[in-house]
Amino acid sequence: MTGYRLASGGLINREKSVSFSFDNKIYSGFEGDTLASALLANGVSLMGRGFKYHRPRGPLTAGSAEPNALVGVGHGARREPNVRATTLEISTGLVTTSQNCWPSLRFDIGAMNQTVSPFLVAGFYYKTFMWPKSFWEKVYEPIIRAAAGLGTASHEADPDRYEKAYAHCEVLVIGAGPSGLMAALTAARAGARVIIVDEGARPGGSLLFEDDDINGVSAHDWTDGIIAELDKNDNVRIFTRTTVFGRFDGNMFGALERVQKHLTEPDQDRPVERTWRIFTKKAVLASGAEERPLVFGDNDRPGIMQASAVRHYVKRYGVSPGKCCVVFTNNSSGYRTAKCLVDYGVKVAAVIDSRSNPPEEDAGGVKVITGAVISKVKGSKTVSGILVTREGDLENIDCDFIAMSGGWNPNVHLACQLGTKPVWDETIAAFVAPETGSDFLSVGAVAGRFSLTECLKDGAEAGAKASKACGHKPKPIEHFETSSDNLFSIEPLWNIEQSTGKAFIDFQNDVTSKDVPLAAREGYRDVELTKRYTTLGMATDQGKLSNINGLAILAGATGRSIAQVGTTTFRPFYTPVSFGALAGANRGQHFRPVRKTPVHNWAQEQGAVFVENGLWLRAQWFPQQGDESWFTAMKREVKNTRENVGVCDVSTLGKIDLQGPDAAEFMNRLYCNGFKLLQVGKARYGLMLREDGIVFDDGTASRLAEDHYFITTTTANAGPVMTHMEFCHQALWPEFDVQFSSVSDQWAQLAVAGPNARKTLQKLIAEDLSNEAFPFMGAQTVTVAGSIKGRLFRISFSGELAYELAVPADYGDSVVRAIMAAGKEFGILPYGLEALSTMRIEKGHVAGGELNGTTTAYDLGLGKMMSTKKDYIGRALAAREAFHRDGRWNVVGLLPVDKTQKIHSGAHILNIETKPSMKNDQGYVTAVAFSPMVGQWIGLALINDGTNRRGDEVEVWDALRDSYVRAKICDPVFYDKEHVKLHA
Amino acid sequence: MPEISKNPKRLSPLENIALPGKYGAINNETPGVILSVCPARSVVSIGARKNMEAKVSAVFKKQYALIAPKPGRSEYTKNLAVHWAGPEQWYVITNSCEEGTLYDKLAKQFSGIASIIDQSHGRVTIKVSGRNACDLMAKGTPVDLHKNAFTKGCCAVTEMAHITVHLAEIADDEFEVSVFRGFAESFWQWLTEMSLEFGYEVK
Repeated sequence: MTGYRLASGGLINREKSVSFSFDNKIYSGFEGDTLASALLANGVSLMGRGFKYHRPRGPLTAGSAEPNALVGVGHGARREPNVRATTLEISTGLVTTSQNCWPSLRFDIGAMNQTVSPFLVAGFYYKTFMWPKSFWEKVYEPIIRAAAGLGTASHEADPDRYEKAYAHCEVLVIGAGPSGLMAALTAARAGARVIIVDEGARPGGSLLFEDDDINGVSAHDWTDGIIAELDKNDNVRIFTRTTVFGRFDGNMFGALERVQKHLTEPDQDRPVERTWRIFTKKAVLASGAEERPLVFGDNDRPGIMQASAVRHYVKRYGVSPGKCCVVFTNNSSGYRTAKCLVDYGVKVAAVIDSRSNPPEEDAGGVKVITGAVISKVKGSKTVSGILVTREGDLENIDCDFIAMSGGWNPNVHLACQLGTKPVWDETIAAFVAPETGSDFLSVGAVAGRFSLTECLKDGAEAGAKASKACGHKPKPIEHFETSSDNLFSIEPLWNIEQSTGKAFIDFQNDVTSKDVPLAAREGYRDVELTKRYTTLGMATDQGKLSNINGLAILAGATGRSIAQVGTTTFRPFYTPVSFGALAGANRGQHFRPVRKTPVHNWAQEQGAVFVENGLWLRAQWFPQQGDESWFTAMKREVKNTRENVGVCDVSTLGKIDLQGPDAAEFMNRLYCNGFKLLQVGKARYGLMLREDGIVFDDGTASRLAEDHYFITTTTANAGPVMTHMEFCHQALWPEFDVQFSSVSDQWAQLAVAGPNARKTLQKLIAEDLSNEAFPFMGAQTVTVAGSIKGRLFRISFSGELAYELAVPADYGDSVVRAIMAAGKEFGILPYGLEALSTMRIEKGHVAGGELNGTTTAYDLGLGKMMSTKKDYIGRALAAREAFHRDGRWNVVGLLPVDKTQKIHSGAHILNIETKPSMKNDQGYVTAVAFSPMVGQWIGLALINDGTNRRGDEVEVWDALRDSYVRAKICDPVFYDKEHVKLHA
Repeated sequence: MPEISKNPKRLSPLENIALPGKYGAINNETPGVILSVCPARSVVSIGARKNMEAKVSAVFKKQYALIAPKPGRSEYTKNLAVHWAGPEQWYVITNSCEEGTLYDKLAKQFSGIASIIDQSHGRVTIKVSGRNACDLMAKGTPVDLHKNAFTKGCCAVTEMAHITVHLAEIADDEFEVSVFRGFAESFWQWLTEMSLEFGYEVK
C-alpha cells in the first residue's frame, strides 16, 4: 500500500507542517494529523506487530478502539507504551517507536511463531507446558511473558503531574457527534447546566468524516456554529480530549481529561491528565457506534481497515490509505466509502457485497459484485490483490488497500456498566443500549438509530426531556433536513468459510475464527468462559471491535442465537486510563496527608530522626552526634530520663473533649472500669472493650468538671475511638445529653518524666506541684510561664515521677523551649519513641503489640479493671466461656537466660525440646527492648497460661533468623516493681 | 521563673511555609488564585445540649443579633462569623479579641444550654480568592460550588486531599478553608500545587 496526501481537503492545517519521528526516521505531517494519518500520508502502513504471532499490522481504525497501530511514545521517564497511533496527535519533536518486534519492525524474528501457529491455539499454555510442573514458574512463564506482550514501560519515575477534580451539571452529554451536540444545544438553550464531553481533540463525531449537509449548511459549518453557541453559554462546559470511562451509582461518571498528552514537552504548571468525577442529574449517552470488521483470511494485513476509517482518513485528514481500493461489505457503509473515494479521485476497483440482492445504493459508479466474498488476500506486509469467490467462480482483483464493513456495534458500554444487558436488534444485527430509566438516556447510533436525521432529532428530544426534568422550559424541537439520508440495511456475515489464512476476530489478542469453536468444543460454551479461555474481548478496546463477531461465531458453534449467547459483563474502563491519573496528586510522600505536631520544628532542630506513626511524624530518637545510632541514643535517653529528667512530645495522642449532664454515665458505659465516681481534678487509666469483649483501646481520662471529661486515646486509635463514640451516641444511647469533639490538634502535649520532673516544671508553673498538693493522678488547670493557660496531668507511661503538660498548640514550640531551659540545670534531654517504648516495656505497660485485637482484659493482666457493678460495652461478650478457659495466652515478661542474647518481636514460644509446629506453639513475643536498667534484652510475650508459668524456661524460636534463645518467663514489670518512683 | 513573654506569640504551622510571592503560571496576568493564611484568631465550637436548640438560638439573637445558622449556612456580624459545623453545632470565630476571651464570654452566655470548646489553636484557616478560586476548590471538594448551589453565606464540612475541611464562602468566589492544625502543611502543599496552573499569589 502506498498511502499519500490528497491534494486538498481534510480538517488539517496545511500551512503548518509538523516534523516527528517513527523508529528514528523523521517524517512530516500537518497540524491536525494523528500519527496514523501522518504515517499513512508518508506511505507508511506497517505500524506494529501482532501480540502472539508477530504478524505485520497497520491501522485498522481511525479512533480509540485501535488494536494494531500501538506505538511507544517519548523517551526516558516520559516513555509511554501502547499508545494508539490513531488518536495520538502529532506535534513537533514527537518521538515514536514500534514495539513488540526484534530486531526491527520490518524484520521481526518473532514472526517465526506463525510457523508453529497450529500449536498456539487458545489455551495452548495450559495444554503444552504441563510438565515438569516446576518448570512453569521458572522456565515457561518467563519465556512466554518475554515473547508475548506489547510495549515496555519506562522504569523511571513519571516526571509529570496528575490531578483530580469534581464537576457538577444538570445534563451530562457523552459524545459530541450529531446526537450529542443536539442534546447539549437543546438543553443549554433551555437554560440547563450542561457538560458535553468528547474523547476527540475536536467535537463533531461522525460529522468529521461524513460530509452531509444539515439544514442547508455543511456538516462542518453546522458543527462549528453549535460549538460557538455552546462556548458562549456560561452554563455550558465543553470537554474535549476527555473520555467518560465509567458510570457509577447515583449518576456519577468518571472521566479522563488528557490535558497535555498531545504535547511533547508538557507545561510543568499544568497536569498532563486529570481525572474528573462528574455528578449529574440526567445523562445523555451519545457515544455512537464502532464499525465491525469482517472475519476473513488474512484480514489483519496492513492496508485492510474499517470502511468508515477510510472515510475518516480521506475526509478528516486528507489522506488516502492507498492508490486502489477494494470495498468488502455486507451493509450500506461500504457504499459510502466507495463513493467517497471516487469523489476524492481515488480509484476503487470493486465493491464486493456479500449480499445476493442488496438494496439499490450509490457506489459512485464503481463495479459492484454481489453475493461474493474475499477468499484470499495477497501480500504480507502490504496488500497486493485479492481473490473474490462468487458462487464458486474465482476472480483476481488488484488493489493495495481494502475497506471492510461488517456492520456497526453501538458503543453501549456506559449504558451497561451498572449491570443492565444490551438488547439484540435483529434489523441492524447489533446489540443496542438498553433503557435504564429516565436519568440516563441513550440517543442516536448507540440506541441503534443510524440515519443522521434520526440522530439529530433523537438528540434534541433527549436534551429537551432531560432539561425539562430539571425544571427548565425547552423550546420546541426544530425540523432537520439532511442531504443524504440513506436507510441502513445489513445482512449479517459472521464467518467466511471459503477464505484461506488466519481470520482474526480480536486483532490485539490474536484470537482467530478457529479459537472460538475450539473453546466451545472443549466445553467453554458460556460466553464469560469463552472470553477467558480465548482472551477474546480482553484487549484494550474491551471487545468493541471483536465481541459481536466472536459471539456470533460462538452462537454458530453451539447452535444458539446471538441473543441467547448474550454479552460478557461491561465494566469500567471504556478505554485505558493511566495509573497516574487515578492517583492524582497522591503519590510518593503525598500518598496520604502528613500530620506534624506543634513541636515538630523544635524536634527537628534537636536533630530528631522521625518515623511515621499513622499519619503523624514522630521523633524516634535524638542523635547527639549526627550518626549516633538509635541504640546508643535510646540507651542514653532512657538512662537520663530515669536518672535526671526527659521531655517527650506526646501531642499525637487522640484527645476528645466530652461534656454534658450525662457525660459521667456515657463514660461509664464506654469504659470497662468506672468513671462515674472519679473526682473532679483527677485522672484515671481507662480500658475500652469492643462489643465482642476484646480490648479496643486504652488511655487516661480526666474529670475537669462534674459534666466535663478530657479523654486521651492511643495515637493509632484516635479516629476509631471518635467514630465509636459517635456510633454509641447516635445509635445506642441517643437519649444521652452529651456533646464531644476532637481536640487532638488544639493541644500540644509534652511528657516531662524523671526524678527531676517536678523541679523542672515547678520553675514554669505557678501552682504548687508538691506531692501533697498535686499527687499521682492529679489533673488541673495551670498557668505556664506566667501567661499561658494549660492543663497538667500527673500521669506516667515511663514509670517515673512524670507529668503531661498540655498547652494550646500554637504555644507548644515556646513551651517546649521553656521546659528545656528550665530543666537545663537538672540535666534535661529530649527522648523519642524508642526510649518511650523501652521504658514502657521495662514497666510492663501494654501497648499496640499487646492490644492487638485478639486479647481480653484478663489476657493483658487487667481483668480486675472490669467492673461488676455497671453495664458497659463488651461486658456481656467478655463473659464468654472461651475467654475464661485455662490455657489462654496472657501477657508475661520474658528474660533471655544468657544475658548476652537477644530476642525478637514475633518470635514464637516453644516448650523446651519440642519442635516448631502449630500444635506445639506456646505463644509469641509482642515487644522487645534492650533495657539499660536491667542490662539485657527483655521482652513481653503472650504465652499459653503464662501467668501461672512464671519461672519456667522456654525456647524462643525465631523462624526468620532461624534461631533458638532460651528464656525465662517472668513478671512483666522489670523495673521498679513496687512503683515507688511514680509516687515520689 | 523563665518568662516566655507577657504576650506569648502564637506560632502558626504555616509560618515560614506560606511565603508571600507570586508562583506558577502567571504569564503577566493577574494571578488566578490569591491565598492568604488567616492570622491567629479565636475559634470556639458550640454544641447545643439536648432540646436546647431554641434557647441557643435565643442567645445568639439576644447577644449577637443573628439567628443560629441552619445546616450549610454561615452568619456574619461586624466582628463575628458563625458557621454551621454539624447537627446543632457551630463554630464562632473572631479576629478581634484577646486569647481566651471569646471562650470565656461564650461559656458564660451559653452556660447550661450548650457545650463550649476552645478550638482556637486546633484549626488553621486559609483564605482563597481570585477568578479561579472555584476551579481550585473543585479539585478538592465534591460539593457543587456553582452560583446556583453554593453562594456567599454557604458553608460545608467536606474533604479535600483526604483531609477534612470546613469550607465557607465568605464573599462571591472567596472562600475560607479551615483544617486541623497538624494537617496544615500537608494541605498547603496540595493547595499550592493545585494552584500552579492558575498562577497564584500568597499574601
